[in-house]
Amino acid sequence: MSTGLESVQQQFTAARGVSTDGDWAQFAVARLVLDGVPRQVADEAVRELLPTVADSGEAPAELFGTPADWAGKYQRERWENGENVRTEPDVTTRRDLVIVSLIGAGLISSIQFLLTLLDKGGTEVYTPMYVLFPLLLSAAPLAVLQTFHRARVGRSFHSAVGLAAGTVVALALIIATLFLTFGDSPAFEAGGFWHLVLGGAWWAAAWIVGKVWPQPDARPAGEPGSAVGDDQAAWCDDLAAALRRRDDMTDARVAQIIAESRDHIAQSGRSAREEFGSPESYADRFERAERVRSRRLAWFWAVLAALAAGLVLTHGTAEGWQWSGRLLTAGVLLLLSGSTAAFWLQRLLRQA
Amino acid sequence: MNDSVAAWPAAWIRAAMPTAILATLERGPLHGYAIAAGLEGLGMGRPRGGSLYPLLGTLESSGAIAASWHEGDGGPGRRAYTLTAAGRERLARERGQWTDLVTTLSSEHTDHEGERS
Repeated sequence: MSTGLESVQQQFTAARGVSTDGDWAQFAVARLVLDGVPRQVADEAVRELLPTVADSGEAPAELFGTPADWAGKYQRERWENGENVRTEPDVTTRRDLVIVSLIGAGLISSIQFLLTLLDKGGTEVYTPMYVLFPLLLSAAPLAVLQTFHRARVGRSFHSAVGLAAGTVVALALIIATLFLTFGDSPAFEAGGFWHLVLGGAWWAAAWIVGKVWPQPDARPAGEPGSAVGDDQAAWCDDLAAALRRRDDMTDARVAQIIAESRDHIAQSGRSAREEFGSPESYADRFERAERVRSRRLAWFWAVLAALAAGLVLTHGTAEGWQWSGRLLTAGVLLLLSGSTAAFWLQRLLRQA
Repeated sequence: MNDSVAAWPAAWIRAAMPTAILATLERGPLHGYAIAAGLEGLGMGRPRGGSLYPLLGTLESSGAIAASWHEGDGGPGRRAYTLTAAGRERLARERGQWTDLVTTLSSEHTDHEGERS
């Protein structure tokens, strides 16, 4: 049997000399990692199956089922033994948002450069708002997503969607006001190459922010998972937050789980932690409701596709359906969001 | 996984737990804690809430059991679980499979196989 630094995939391929065994191992590791299991733990878990495959001479699929089935069973067995193999949920900090926004701005500037090549390749008028546009376009969706996720921890799904929609409107108004106020003041006229220079500047700014703004180590007080001891009310609040963060449970299901937990604690006479463990690990033990997740993602991408279709119509009508950077961008957005919506809708129908 | 001493090894109990839950519901609807007490009565130890309710959720989504909300008398309501027709079929099938397994593993049967080989 192979050991050492050889990848799990190579070890499985070598065990029986069958390449599909390696593929099975790779998919099994990927499934665990996608479920939030750290890579090292996932590698070790799959590697533990290697002696069985080598000794039996049978394919991993015959021994353990599909990679997804095996990964689910592996996690369930660990949970039942009181082990939480998943990492704690990431808490996005303001520092993360700023850095990701700057990196996104750099990417958008690079795309703008490519669009100027496709469009005309001539000079561009760089107004202050035109220069800031990539950062606004990058930061605004992140702000909306962050608003949704933060609101979701303590509110119902519909309230969180409402707050996120309100943030979209507020940001649109702020950006429109900025454009109306500063949009017409030309800064300089230059070639499309300057988009690349600006992109580099955004990335340099992201690097500098990463260096000078330290990542907070401790979880701030009041964040999910901060409840300690046997405070049942705090434990239930944290459980509700952890269940909502999964993004695959309806509000009714979250309420049921909380009510059952309260009832069980009252009858058992033991603390919530003794009966259920930590709120995060307990929330992770419930089977994934893929249908709820697929429905929500299908709706999200369908709404985005509708907005993109509106942009295509607006630009196309205004510009006489001539190829332009704006029309091309809106078209690409429509294509991406429409195909993603179709993917989730098809998945939803299969799960029906 | 279990709160009290069980009559069998933990791995066996883990494997048999879904069947055992269906068996506790055979006589009528029960709420979560009563199911845990019923399992304890079967000698399987009382499962902790952290193991029991996710398993009940999985059985419910598979259609083997159904849950309904019952308002309490002056207190908070409770979810009661009922065995469905599909659950009864599953219980009968799994009981048969467990019986076959026990028969296969019984010493008499194993000795018989050993004599033949």
